Amino acid sequence: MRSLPPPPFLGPIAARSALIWLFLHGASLVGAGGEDVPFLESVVGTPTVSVVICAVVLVLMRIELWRRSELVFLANLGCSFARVAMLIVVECALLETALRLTVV
Amino acid sequence: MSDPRYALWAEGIRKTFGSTEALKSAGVWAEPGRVTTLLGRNGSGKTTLMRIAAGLLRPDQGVVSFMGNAGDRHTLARLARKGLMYLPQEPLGVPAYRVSDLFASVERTFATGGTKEAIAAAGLEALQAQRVAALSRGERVRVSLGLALARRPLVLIADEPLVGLSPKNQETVARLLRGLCAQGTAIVTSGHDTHALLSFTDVVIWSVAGTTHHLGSPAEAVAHWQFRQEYLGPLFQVDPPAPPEQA
Repeated sequence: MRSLPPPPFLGPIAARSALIWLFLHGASLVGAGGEDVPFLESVVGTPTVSVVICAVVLVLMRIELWRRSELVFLANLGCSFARVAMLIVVECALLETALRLTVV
Repeated sequence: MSDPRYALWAEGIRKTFGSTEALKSAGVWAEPGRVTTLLGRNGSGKTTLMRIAAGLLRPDQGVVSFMGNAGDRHTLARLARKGLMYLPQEPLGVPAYRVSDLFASVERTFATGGTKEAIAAAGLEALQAQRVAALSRGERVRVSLGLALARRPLVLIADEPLVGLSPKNQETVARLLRGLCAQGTAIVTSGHDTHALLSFTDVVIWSVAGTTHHLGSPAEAVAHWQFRQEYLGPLFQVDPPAPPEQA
């Protein structure tokens, strides 16, 4: 038995998390635009910004999964939100790494 | 102390929400191959008790035992891996997905091999390609129960499965639940459609003022004077009146 969300849930969850992550990074870039921060630094953000963005992605995804009745469905498949959260954290870490490798 | 006869056993459950005491000392028991129904007025704590039994809420006090394993770290996901399935009041199913996707996810996860039969038993052949969002409430309930048939759980907790359904759809739900029972599933259900519920129930538990009382069979429950007086009401008839004869 799987512990991660099975298909067809896995892909959309990863895609939605990535979209939220992208949106939040965009918002932080716009937010940093008014301040005297070097462009590269404002795109990549500090480690604290990365952690905050990951936490916000988790909160928004929990709301989103609850709103779409996916939380109870996934729990009935044996997949708790903790497992989904692990997936999201790993995804955010990979995206942050990819962003740093690309920009810096 | 849990009784080995019961697949699910919750006892002495107390739960408060802020200053509101939803449950004082409640319990529910589910035996394999039998339907146990919680009946009680609105706000008597039925849903809270079922959510605690399913691991969605943590009780302030009391014990929940699943398949002889009592613990305070029960969550729905953990219990689901061991064989429990929970159907909330709002039919289970993710609106954005196709019916066939939901069945496929159950089959991939649990590999019970019963998906085709479950879809046929729930009469969902024609709905497989549709998204859940496009279905009526009756159809969504059938999808929920079809998923339960495909899952073949040891224990099924179905919160008010008959609510908002036509009599014909209620009959279908009753048939599907009895079908699960025949496979050995222990079922706990609830609701207010008393006639329909009692038609397929084996054991009645009366939920009243945060406590529960085991009333026995539907016949014993209906004969219980206090239950009649406080829940069923004076207009309740055991058998519905016969239709008037045509002249």
